[in-house]
Amino acid sequence: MTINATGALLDLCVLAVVSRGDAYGYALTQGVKRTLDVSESTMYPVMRRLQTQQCLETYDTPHEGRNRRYYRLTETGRRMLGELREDWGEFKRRVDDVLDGGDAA
Amino acid sequence: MTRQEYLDKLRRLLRALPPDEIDAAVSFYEEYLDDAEDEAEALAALGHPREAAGRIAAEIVAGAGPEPGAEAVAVAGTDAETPGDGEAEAGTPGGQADDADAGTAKKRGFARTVSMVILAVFALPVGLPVAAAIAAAALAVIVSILAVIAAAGAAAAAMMPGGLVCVILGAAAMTQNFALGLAALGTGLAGIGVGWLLLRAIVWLWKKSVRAISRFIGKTVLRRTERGRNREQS
Repeated sequence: MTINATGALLDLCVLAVVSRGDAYGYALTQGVKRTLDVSESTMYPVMRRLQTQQCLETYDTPHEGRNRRYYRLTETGRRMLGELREDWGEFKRRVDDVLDGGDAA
Repeated sequence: MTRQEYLDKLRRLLRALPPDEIDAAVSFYEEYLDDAEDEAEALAALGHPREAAGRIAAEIVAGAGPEPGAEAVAVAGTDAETPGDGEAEAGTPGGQADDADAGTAKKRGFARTVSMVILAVFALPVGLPVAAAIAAAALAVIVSILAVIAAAGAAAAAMMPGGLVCVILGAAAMTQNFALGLAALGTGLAGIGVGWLLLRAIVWLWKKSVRAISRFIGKTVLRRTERGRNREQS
């Protein structure tokens, strides 16, 4: 597939995955990668950005003698997920309009 | 590249960032590799640490953009406090700011933007500051060599007018004291000749060294860019 998920679209996908349950870095990356062709090295910057925007927060749990950092959706993140989901619906509709020859709103 | 090499290289590439940022990023990838079912495969998928480092730096610079919002002071404050204990709070530089709306959460001060851009520029190619220092030292050596040659040339060139003066004075003195005048005239002529020869030798030397230096610079730069390109491919 030549269309890539970047920026806000990738944020939306990550937020959606976390909204289905707290996740740690590797599981989250695999969860996004299952459907989207993202490079492994793009995931940390996305997580960092969402944390900076306070959409995600982290907590550490011990796992096999080391730390495992889990990401959890915050209230801000939930709101952001809703907004982005709406934006995505609007975007999808407009693209479909263009593809089907209708007038883009 | 082994797992430890990857993490070490990543840490080195990010070394210009604040310590808490480095720790948060490195521990993310460390944990990522710990959790991977096939570590070798995960390492291969990650590619070169430069890829991750570049994206992290780009994200930090973009995130520090001067957007309207409300937590510049809070962010600057956390930055000043966290470098010592970059552990639990490491991943949340903006964590202490009050619950600003997600859309406006990205506000940063202008100074932070500038410093982050500088940090990111220095963080990307590993040896850039070192390379700059070596280049400056090499330039100093080259300039010194050329300056010595130029000074010798100036001295040789000065011998010719000096010799000419000697010839004129000697010729004038011949009417009073023929032997002394002749000796002065001869010395002046010899001076002009030696100066002329020296100048030619020095001009030749100058041309040779300029050519050698430019060849050396050309080769060094080429070798470096080629090495960089090879590294890019591997």
